[in-house]
Amino acid sequence: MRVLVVEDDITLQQQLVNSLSKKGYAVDAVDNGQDALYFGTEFPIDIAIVDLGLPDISGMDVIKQLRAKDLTFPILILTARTRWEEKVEGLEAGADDYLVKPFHTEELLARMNALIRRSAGVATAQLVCGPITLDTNAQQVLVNETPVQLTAYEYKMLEYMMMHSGRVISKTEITEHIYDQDFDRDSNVIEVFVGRLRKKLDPEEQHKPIETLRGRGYRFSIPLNS
Amino acid sequence: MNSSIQSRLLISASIVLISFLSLAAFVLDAAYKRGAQQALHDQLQIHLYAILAKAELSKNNRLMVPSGLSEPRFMQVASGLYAYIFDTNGEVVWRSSSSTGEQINSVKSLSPGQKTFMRSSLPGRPSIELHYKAILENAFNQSSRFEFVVIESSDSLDNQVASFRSVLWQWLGGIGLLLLIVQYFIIRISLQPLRHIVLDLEKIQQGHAQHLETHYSDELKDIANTLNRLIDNERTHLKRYRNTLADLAHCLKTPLSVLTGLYGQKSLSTTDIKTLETQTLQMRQLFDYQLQKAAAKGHQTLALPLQIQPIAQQIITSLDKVYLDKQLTVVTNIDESIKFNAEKGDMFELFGNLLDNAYKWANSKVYIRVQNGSDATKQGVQIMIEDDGPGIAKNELDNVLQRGIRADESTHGHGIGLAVVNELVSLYNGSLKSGVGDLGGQQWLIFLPNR
Repeated sequence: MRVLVVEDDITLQQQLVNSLSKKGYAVDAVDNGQDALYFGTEFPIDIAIVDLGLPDISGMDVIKQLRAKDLTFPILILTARTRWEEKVEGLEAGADDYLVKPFHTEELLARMNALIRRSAGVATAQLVCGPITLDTNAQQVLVNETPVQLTAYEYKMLEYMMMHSGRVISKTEITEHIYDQDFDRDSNVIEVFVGRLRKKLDPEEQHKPIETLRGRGYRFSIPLNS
Repeated sequence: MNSSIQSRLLISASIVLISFLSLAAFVLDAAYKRGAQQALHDQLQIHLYAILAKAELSKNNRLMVPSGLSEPRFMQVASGLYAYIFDTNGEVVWRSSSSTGEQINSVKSLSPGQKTFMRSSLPGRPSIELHYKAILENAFNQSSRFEFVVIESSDSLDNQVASFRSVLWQWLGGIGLLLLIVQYFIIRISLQPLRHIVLDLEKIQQGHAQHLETHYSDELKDIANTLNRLIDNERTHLKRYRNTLADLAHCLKTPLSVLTGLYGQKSLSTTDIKTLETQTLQMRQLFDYQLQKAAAKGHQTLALPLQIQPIAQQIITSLDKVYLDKQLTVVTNIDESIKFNAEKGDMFELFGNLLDNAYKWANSKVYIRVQNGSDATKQGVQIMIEDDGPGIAKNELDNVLQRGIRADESTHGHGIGLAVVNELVSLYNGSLKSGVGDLGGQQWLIFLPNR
């Protein structure tokens, strides 16, 4: 999942980048409104976290301008302002949720999860594809009720694929949503991850959850909530 | 003196007008009377000269007055015009035929050539007498002194004066009344701008207008402009005050977020993290509470009365978005006509915190009702918000309504929000009741009285 962090306080920004990266998010971090608009428009962002108090363009205007460009990814407002008038203004501008500073990182992650799920059209916190269950709250994957240990990247990749199950997902798309811009696109790390996921989820090769479509990408073949 | 400028002006102008008119009447009356009197005197003199011209002294030194005076009234009994001629002994030597039955006295002290006017001693009719002492000579150089007296009734004079007086008073009275009425309207018209400015100020105070209008008379324009500046200043000041507070919060909260972000640090001991968490949490709550308290403004004297429905609706729409996952059934029953003299931000806080709380705790239903109502003494707005969640236990209620104390530490929820609501309600002199509603969960009943 690719997250855009728009926060002008560098310490807080770095802290967010660290916690989010640790949880397997691909993070683009910017400290001003101009860059936020650029990243939001040019990159396949899955969710944006926007601080309202930015030095150049206000966070509120960034949100409005992103929405004016028909960009629909969820936006979570970070604000120090606790006035309801401002919260309502932010939500009306096009944000989907708000979090008042200071906040617990866990709470931020929980809210982000909920927003990402919601934007993928998944109503519940649990994604169920046949025997595979992914709990977005607990960040846990179960195969036939048995927990499976995944790395943060593997987890994010599975989450993305399950949310878009039935759809062909190109390698580039996976790369863009899982890794930030420094990633070497030519490496075969995606193949490696897919191989590891197949082994962990379906060691007996019974369900074959991930199909390879030569030259086009991958498809998670078990429909969601089946 | 607390009477109005209008009545003061009216009273003083009326006093001046009435004294002026009375004085004018008095002077005119006196002048007319004097003129009429003078005319009578002239008349008497003319009669006197006519008699003098006719009177002759015979050669045996006797007075001769031929009959047939030019004035017929001398011939007519009780005509009011009489003539007498006395000799030096005060004996009547001649009298006009009109004077039959009338008796007057001579004035002996007169010297020749001297004349005097006097009020008549004739009984019954007010009259004026002209006495004149003349020396008559005959052709034989004999001379004798005689006192000529002409009397004319002053009836006509008095009548003339009386009728003049009545006409005068009627006219002056009429004019005075007319002037008083005109003056009343002039004063009203002149004071109209003042009345306008007072009405406009009242409108601002009741919140029906934002500024004084600018169509006042030149003298009041400056006052209106100054007042408008004052009003603007107050608004700007409040706005700046609030912005400064919000900026302060923003400045302090970002570093606080950094501190909160340290909870996950592995290098810190559990005790350190616990302390860090407690302290930062407390700081956050103190900020929030104090900021909200400072920003709350209460009844607005210089603002428009606020329509409640759009604010509640805005918050409901926003919360629907935030709590989309819960798929709540939200029933609203808000009277669109309700207006309340409150600051917009305060109402956002009140409804925001209460509704957020209801959305957060509700299992499936939230109900909000806003309507006009009254308590024992005052009219106001009645707000009811309820949910079908677990509700707040009676013994926790005090904690929830007091600043910075959380009823349930593990669930972010009844934070300072409800304490802020409590603070706002008391700022508006309202009442807040907690109970169990029809939906089975928490029910808040709030009454905010009008100013």
